[in-house]
Amino acid sequence: MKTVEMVIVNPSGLHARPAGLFVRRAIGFKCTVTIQNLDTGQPPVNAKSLIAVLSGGLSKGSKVRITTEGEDEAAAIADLESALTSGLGESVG
Amino acid sequence: MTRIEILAPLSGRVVPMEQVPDPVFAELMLGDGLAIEPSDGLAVAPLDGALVVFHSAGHAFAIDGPESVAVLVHVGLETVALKGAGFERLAEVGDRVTAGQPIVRMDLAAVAAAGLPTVSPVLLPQLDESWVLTKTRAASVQAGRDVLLTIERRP
Repeated sequence: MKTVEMVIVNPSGLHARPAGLFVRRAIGFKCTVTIQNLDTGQPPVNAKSLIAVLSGGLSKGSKVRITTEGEDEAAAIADLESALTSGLGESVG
Repeated sequence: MTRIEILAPLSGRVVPMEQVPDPVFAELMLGDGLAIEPSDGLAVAPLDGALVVFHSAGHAFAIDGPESVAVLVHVGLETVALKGAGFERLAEVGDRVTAGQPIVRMDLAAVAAAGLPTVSPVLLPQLDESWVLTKTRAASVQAGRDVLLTIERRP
């Protein structure tokens, strides 16, 4: 199992577009992937479900924990961390 | 056979998803469905269920309906940038809602004045292959009355 904690950088948080792109990347891996909003105390949710990720209410500055578990967990966590850091195509200046 | 009807959440002209001027929607990256160019800003629940997502900016909501089928309504495009201005919330996350119940009212003039498209995608995120999706052929629909999308479980 791999985990990483980071902060959402998208100016409007993980709204439909960046959340959708994030979910698509997560789906590309075989391992289970969860994302947890550490600011709300909600339990981790399935990062391969758009509705679940959107229901996390992740806004700019939200602290999240990503957890991957399975055969490609290392590649998955590296890719998803990089995707979130880069803002998933949105300007994060 | 299980059959779920998804009503139009907005009144207006039906627009094929492929014609929505945003590739994330047009290329069905979030899911398949139809868009509506609204003639009125009132958005209602397209089916019975739980309001599981309602963005703080009021511009996007999702309802988790029967058989774990979820419907996402994105009211206008890039409207997240308005941070809630021009959107009046009429429900809250966690509410049980019934088809036709008002969820949010978009000020069409304010959104247009901000230079943002009011066309609103209605889609089924990650609908699995056990379902067959049928889209209305109507040119225009009335919110809470006309069926926009129908899904049926494959026999």
